[in-house]
Formats: sequence, C-alpha cells, structure tokens
Amino acid sequence: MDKNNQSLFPDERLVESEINTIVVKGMVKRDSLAKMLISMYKQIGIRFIMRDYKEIIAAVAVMALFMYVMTKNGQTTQYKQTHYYGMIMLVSPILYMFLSIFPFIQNKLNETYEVEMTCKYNLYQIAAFRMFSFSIFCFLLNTIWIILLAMKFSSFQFVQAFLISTTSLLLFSLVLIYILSIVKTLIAKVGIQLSWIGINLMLVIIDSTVYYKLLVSVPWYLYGMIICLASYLYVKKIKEFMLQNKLRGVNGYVNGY
Amino acid sequence: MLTVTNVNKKFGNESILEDIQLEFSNGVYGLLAPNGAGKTTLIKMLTTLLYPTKGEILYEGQNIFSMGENYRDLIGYLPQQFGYYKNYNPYQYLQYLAALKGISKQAANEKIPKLLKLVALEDAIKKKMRKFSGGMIQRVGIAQAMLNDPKILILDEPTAGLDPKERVRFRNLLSELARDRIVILSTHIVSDVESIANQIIMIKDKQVLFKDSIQIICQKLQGKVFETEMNFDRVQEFRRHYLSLSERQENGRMMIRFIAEEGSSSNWKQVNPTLEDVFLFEYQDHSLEQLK
Ligand SMILES: Nc1ncnc2c1ncn2[C@@H]1O[C@H](COP(=O)(O)OP(=O)(O)O)[C@@H](O)[C@H]1O
Ligand SMILES: [Mg+2]
Repeated sequence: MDKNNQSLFPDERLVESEINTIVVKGMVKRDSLAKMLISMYKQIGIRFIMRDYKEIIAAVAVMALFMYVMTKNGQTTQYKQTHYYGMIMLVSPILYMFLSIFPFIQNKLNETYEVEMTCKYNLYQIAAFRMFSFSIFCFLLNTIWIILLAMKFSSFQFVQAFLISTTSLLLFSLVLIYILSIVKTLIAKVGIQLSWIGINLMLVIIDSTVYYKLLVSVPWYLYGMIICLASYLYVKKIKEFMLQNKLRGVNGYVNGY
Repeated sequence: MLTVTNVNKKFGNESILEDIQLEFSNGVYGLLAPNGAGKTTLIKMLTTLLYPTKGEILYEGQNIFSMGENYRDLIGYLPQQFGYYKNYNPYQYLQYLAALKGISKQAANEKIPKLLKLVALEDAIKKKMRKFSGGMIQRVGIAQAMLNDPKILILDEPTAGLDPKERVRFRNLLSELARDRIVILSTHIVSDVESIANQIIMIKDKQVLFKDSIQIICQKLQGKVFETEMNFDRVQEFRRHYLSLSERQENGRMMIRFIAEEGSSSNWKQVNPTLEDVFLFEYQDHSLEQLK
C-alpha cells in the first residue's frame, strides 16, 4: 500500500527542488550594473576591452593639448567668456563621442562585426563598458579643464561652467546610447553625432552672445535636475545595453551595408 | 534542439524567406541552394544577427533572442565574410575572440595552439594576418568558430577559398565534430556536403524544398536520369528536348547525362541519380517544360 503510494506521488520536497532547478535554468540572470561591469572586466580583461589603446591614448592627448592651448592662449587672443560657455558645451562630449564610436568604425572597416556580435560578450556590451568608463574619464578631464579656466580667468564662473559641461556630456551620452540602440547603420550613427556638434558649433559661431545668455539663463537647479535625470536614464540604458535582450537582431542587412 | 517555426523574413516589401519550418538535432546539416536563395539570411537569423519578420527560433524551447548571451555562448559562427584585424596574428586574434566568448585566458592559451594545429596553421601562429592568403584566413575563421566548443556550429560557405586538399581535411574535421553537436553549413557546391551531411536542406522559391537525407532526396529522380552517347552534331538538338545534367567527351563522341520522364531508347542507360542531379534539376529554369 505504502509503496504504491510513494511511486504514484513523488516526494514533495523532490518536486519542489526540481521545480526550482527548472525555474533557475529558465531564467535569464539580471545582475546589478556594477556586478556586470566587474565580471566583464575579469573575464575579458582591459587589454581586449580597450583593444585600441594606442588610438585612445592619442585621442586623449590631442584633446588635452587642445584644452591646454585654449586655456593658455585665452588671454592673448582676448576671448570673451561668452565664447567659453558655448565652447565648453561644444567640446565636452567630443572626446567621449570619438572614443565610444571608434570600435564601431574599426569593426566596420575590418568586417569583424559579425563575429564580434555573435560572441558571448558582443560588441554592444563592450561598447557599454567603454562608454561607462569613458563618461567618467571625460567628466574628470572636463572638470580639470574648467578648474584651470576658472583659475586663469576671474570672470569665469566655475559652478556655471561645471554645470554646463556636465549637462552637455551627460545629455550627449544619453543621446548617443539611444542612437546606438535604435539606429543600426554606422553612417546614421556617425551622422547624428556630427549633427550634434554641427548645431552647437553653429550656435557658437552665429551668435555666441545669445547662446551664452541662453546657457547662463538656465537656473542651476534646472541643470541639476537635468543632470540627475540624465544620469539615471544613462545608467539604466547602459544596463539594458549590457543585457542585450531587447535588441531585435543587431543588423538590418544581409550582404553589404 | 534548435527549432525554426513559421519564420518569414522581409526586407522592406521584398520577401526573402517564407514559412520556414526546420528542426536541428546533432549532426551535419547541409544548407544547399544557389546564390541569392536566402542561405545567409537564414543563417543570420540563427545567429541572432537578424530578427525574423514573423515566426520564432527556439533553442530547447526558449526564444534565442531573449536568451541573449546565454544563446551566443552556445554558438560558433563563421560568417560568409570573415573579417579580421590586420595587425593581429592568428594567435592574438583568437585570444581576443576567446576573451569575448568568455573563455578564461588560461583555457584559451591551452586551446588556441590545438585549434591552429587542427586547421594546419601551426607554422603561421606568429605571422601577421595581413600576410595571409584567403584560404589561411578562412581556416582561422573555422578555428575561431570552434573556440568555445559550441553546441551549435554554423558555417556560411566555409569552403570558399580552400583548395581541394584543404576541403578534404575540412570535411573530415566536420564529421568528427558533428557527433555531439549541431553543425549547419551552407554552400552552393554540392560536393561540399554530399559526403558529410546527414541531412540536406534545399531552399527554393523562398521556401524549404527538401529537408531529408541525401538518399531520400535522390529518390525523387529515381528512374529519370539516363546516360547516352551520341555524335556531336546531334547534341544541340538533343538539349532542346531534354535537360542535360553533364556532358563529357569520350572517344570522339559525347557522353550526356540527362533527365527524361521515361526511357524511350534502347541505348539510353538508366543510372542512379545523385544529389548534383537533383540540384541541377531543381534549380534549372523552365526545367519542367524541358522535360516534356
Ligand atoms: N539588406 C537587404 N535588402 C534587400 N534585399 C536583400 C538584403 N540583403 C539580401 N537581400 C536579398 O536577399 C536574397 C538572399 O540573399 P542571401 O541570403 O545573401 O542569399 P545566399 O546567401 O543564399 O546567397 C538576395 O536576393 C538578396 O538580394
Ligand atoms: Mg550567402
């Protein structure tokens, strides 16, 4: 009697553990961003995440040189501070843009996209890791530049410039990551970014005083709110990029581009 | 088990694949069709590079797109266009891809020399890839696809650029590998898959035409393939009535292998159809009219 019962109804605990393993196996793991970044760093290693470290160093050097020259020559060419805020808005995200988009250009030129996209860690995950680190790096670099400017020019408002620079970098980062996740062709990716620079450049060239007034008239708490919101969305989007589950197929083409 | 259910793919309004139903379990699958039939399109959907317009692709019951990196971890893929970084040597390139595949440095350093030996590149390990021939690059591509010991190995026209000797090596390698995994290879060359594929998948008019063993596919033409010998001056007239599959000269006469509904002449010799015959028959324009 007992024996029969046992074979008909398996042990409840066994059933439960079976169910648990099935559930665990079927779940796509969702770790925190920090955990994902660390595990990527450990598994891939900085050598291959920053595969193009020579180009990265060169780009950073060029940007640092540019910032240095801008600061040094500020006095002699009698730049007004009106130029500077617009310039900061314009310059802040450029290095970030270049560093972020560079792997996409490289693998397009070398046609390594498809292999890299079908690996466990695909290009988008690497790009997300890089973007996250570069955004912090560029933030620091920009801040140092602004400190130097503030030390040099008495009329220069550090807080104002800091808010402008950080907002610019963050907004741009956010736009870029949305572009990368929506737009699939490289030309469109680069095009949209260049137009960001173009618009800013135009604003600086056409009427830097009006642009200056606009940038200055935005109250600090609005900048603060934009920064908070943008950071939140940015981190959220980076994480999404890492998980890569929402992207419905990564290219829109079969042959050619 | 990898299952493709009701998959359609369109580019804009142009439909490329329609209502594709396939099932893959361990073994070699030859995806055989002429250029432009949609082989690469299908393969890119299997590798998550392209998203189907309609339908689903499941691995062990889970949608491969929502499996994300867990699925990519299972596949090895050689694209039709295998790109590489020119200043890397094969060892560095494989190290890089191994890292992306989540393989530890130590395991990679153990595995890479073995793989390069397997594809006969052990002498070129430290040579920059920009100096490689097409065949050598293709072999790096094959090695790369096997780095993570994939459960699903997908190769898009893998024999392109390989010389006949390399092709034989490659075929032997594949049959060895296919024992405990799914191997899908696409080609438009019949001899590439004839000897190794357990199943042949042919695509025609955007749909799966056959998915069967070679034996069963060949039966479709059983009793319809003949060989005969004739003088050259009659060949042209003959071609107008029958679909000629292959022709060769022998002793000043022409040997023709062709398709006919039934034998109608005593010097026609009925022969066993081959996969090549079926391929030529199926992808011949107006072949049905020629039959009559
Ligand atoms: N991005 C695209 N837009 C429109 N049509 C495409 C695109 N990519 C491929 N095609 C078409 O899809 C068909 C199948 O191509 P493909 O899958 O590369 O064939 P195969 O690999 O069998 O040679 C071809 O007719 C090709 O012209
Ligand atoms: Mg193709």
